[in-house]
Amino acid sequence: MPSYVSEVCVLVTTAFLAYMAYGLKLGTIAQPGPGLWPFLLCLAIVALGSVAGLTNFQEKKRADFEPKKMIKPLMAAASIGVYALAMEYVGYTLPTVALTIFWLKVIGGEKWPITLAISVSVSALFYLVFSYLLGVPFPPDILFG
Amino acid sequence: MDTIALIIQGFSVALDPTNLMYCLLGVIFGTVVGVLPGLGPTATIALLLPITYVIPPEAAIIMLAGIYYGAMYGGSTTSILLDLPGEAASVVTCFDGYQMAKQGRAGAALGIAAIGSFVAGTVALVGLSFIAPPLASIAIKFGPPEFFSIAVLGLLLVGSLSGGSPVKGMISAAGGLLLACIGQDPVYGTLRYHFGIIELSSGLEFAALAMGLFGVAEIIYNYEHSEEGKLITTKLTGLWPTLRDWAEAKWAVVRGSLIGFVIGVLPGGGAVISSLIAYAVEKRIAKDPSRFGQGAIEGVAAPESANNAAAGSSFIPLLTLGIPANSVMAMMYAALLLHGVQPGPFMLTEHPGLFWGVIASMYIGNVLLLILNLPLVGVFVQLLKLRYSILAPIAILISLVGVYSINNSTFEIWVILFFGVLGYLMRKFAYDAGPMVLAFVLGPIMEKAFRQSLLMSNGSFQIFVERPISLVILAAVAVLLAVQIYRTLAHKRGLELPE
Amino acid sequence: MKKSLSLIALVVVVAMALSGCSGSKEKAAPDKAAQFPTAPVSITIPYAAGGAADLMARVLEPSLAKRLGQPVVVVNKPGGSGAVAMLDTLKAKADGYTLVVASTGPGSITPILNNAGYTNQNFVPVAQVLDIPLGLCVPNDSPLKTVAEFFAYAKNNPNKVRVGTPGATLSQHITIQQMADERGVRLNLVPFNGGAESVTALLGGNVDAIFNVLTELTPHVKSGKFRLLGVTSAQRSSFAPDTPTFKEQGIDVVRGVWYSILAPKGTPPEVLKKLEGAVQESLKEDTVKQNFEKASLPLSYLSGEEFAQKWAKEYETNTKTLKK
Repeated sequence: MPSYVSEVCVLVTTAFLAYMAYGLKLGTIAQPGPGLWPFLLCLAIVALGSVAGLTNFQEKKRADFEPKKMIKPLMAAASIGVYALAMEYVGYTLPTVALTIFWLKVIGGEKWPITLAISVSVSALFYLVFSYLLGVPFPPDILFG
Repeated sequence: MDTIALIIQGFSVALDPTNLMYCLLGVIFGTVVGVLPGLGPTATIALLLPITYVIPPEAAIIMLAGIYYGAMYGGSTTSILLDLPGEAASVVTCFDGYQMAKQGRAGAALGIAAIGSFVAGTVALVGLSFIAPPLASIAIKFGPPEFFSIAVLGLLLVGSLSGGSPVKGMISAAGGLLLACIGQDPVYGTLRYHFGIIELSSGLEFAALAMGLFGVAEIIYNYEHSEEGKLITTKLTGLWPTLRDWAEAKWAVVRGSLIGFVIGVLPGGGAVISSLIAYAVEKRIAKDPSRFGQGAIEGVAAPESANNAAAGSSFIPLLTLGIPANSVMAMMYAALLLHGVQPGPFMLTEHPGLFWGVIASMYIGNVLLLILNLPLVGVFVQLLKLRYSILAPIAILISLVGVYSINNSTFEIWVILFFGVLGYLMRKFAYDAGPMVLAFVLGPIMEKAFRQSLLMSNGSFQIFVERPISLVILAAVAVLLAVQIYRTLAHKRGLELPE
Repeated sequence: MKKSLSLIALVVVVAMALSGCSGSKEKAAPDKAAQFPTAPVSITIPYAAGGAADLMARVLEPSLAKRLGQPVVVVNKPGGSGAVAMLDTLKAKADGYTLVVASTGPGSITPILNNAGYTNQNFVPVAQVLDIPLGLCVPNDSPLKTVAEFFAYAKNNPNKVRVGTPGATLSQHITIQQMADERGVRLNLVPFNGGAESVTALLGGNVDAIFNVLTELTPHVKSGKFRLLGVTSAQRSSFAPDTPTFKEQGIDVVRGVWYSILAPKGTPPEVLKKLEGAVQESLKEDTVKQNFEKASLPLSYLSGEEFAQKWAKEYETNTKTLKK
């Protein structure tokens, strides 16, 4: 993938954010409004981003994007999202054990005995430290009420 | 003269067996929460606050103080081992600390961090005993214009830290400043960029952003290469800093401690800015600045010493003026109030036993921490011997549960995920995440101070140059900038400049 | 004796830490309101630990637990200028097991300014616990002695007098802005980030005056650094008995930052009565009173009904002034 793709993304996002900042009222220099600071930042990013993008374009730089290699990173990211959702509904225990098993077994390719042993012991240890020692309230747990 | 007698009196309070026990308990608790990213000393102190109602005020404050500096001590651990900075003050430590760990020198990095912290703690305490009141009276002169100037200085340093393309470094920094705009405008409270999400209306959590961009991105990125089997090359080379390490780092420790102590007195942001300045100073005076960011031991020693010295000196405004400089000090303030002790100018005269007892306990606590932490270095380093397929899930779980515990909310897990993916993409496109994280910390300080200054002066920019302290800092910024531009231009023309 | 006591306390600390004085959120099925409470009651604080709201809940917690016969769990949920905690409370069942501590900001300013997704109509008050008056302070070496002198001076020096407040969305800022506008006075109002920052600004001479809650001012008045020109309570405050109120000085402003316990709308009246009674009884306890006194927090009990009226009135005024 050509490197300038990243700068194009930056420019599109920044243009949108600049438009939002403009809507927040810029005010004057003596009485700056809430939108002035982000608006100025957006202008700076647009200027810098154009320079970086053009440089990349001229030098024909490429970023390393191999779909095959990116399967594991994608799985890792997706599993974190699922974890956040699951924890909200069924509490700490199940999602944590499931997440660690997924990372150890599916992503990491560990053997089952090691996977289970580490998953259960790490989940329990963290529960002990965070919930008991530090008093962090987790969402209601469907396993342990 | 008198001070010495008072310090001796303080030691007699601190060495009382009960107080000693609370001190030990405090530093142990502090180390635990310091090592765990996310839940910081503030939350822990809050948790233990009700318990302190039933114990004498000396013991209570000694324990709470122990938690605070214990946490600062432990804060570097995950930064060095796993690239997970749980608090703003240890971001700079990641730059070289994690590189050292990757080269198998985690033991040296952790060791120098512990020793540096000890030296810094001691420097801070000596300073606290002898020059606290005059320093405090200078610190309060810092108004919005001075904070703006120092934030500009900080930002300039951030720019010069970045490796790789300077333009991309600046984009990353500006992006960090823009991310800091999310939430309430620091002056009028107008909501910005919250996209209708209520959690965003108070802004992004620092720990979620930093741990996402650094640690989580690193883990995700590493999995891309897992087939080739080239994960962390953990050939551990010794558990301790060698004599050579020590020779390289000792002046960095001293300079870092002094910088941290002086700048740490400034309320808000003092610890971060001091670690940045300490790092930048080391890089500037080093014979070979290119080693920085590649695992230079001074790059760990200086910022770690600075942020620990800053932790000590942040007690100064509280104990001498009754002003809490950060949220941890606000908790101390509350704890003192509940014991009927009014923090402030009268503490020294009305409760000398308490004042000097707490200071003496910090000396003792520092020794306890060193004894406690040096053997722990060995234990932590063993962690890196784990296969990456086992280490990564543990690291990811520390991050996820850690960020959850900040606000007891799964929203922070989404934030860390978002920044994990962003950090991964930034790596692929050769953008450095360091400037983004540091600019995120400096952004609110800078914008707020800028706008407050203009409100103070009713719109006149002269306010930045008619005040002596602000003028001096801005002059330093101008000189640094000029030197940088001159060097870049000279470099472009192919002239080699002697450093 | 003292030593053995504190040793016992130490053991308690360790035991509590190990056994988990934690806030597990177990909740029994909603029993009949008459049997309330049969499970732990949780009180959400919309701020991080350490502030007035947090102190208040933690001082009350043991005493409330004793009266209700169930543990009381204090949970901190900062964020969104208090809106996160308020909305979280609304998500819970209106059964009295989930309460929230609100103050002037999350109660009558945030929902109006920020379209936060709730109004005062979504809650029923259990009781008001604190009402902290505001005070106007100048440095001790200032020639100004009264509030009237202050405004007269500021009127003669438009855009010259810098007044610090703890934040632009707080009652402190809005109140002094209103007073200045009514008198045609042009102040340079500088909002800071919290009370401590504004106090520092006055100590360092970066502003000429500050308008802040009394709790944060009195220590510096006592130490002789600040002079308190006036207090916005209806009667003189016991924390500053020598300072006349604004009202005494001919300025008809009575304002305070209140802290109240609220429940979601729809909570059964019997349950509310029980909670209200428990709060009222707790506030009569000597240790509770002493702890509030020590923390310089002025107790000001109002029943749920009394407070509901006060809140509705304030909400209405704020809606008019803030939405212009």
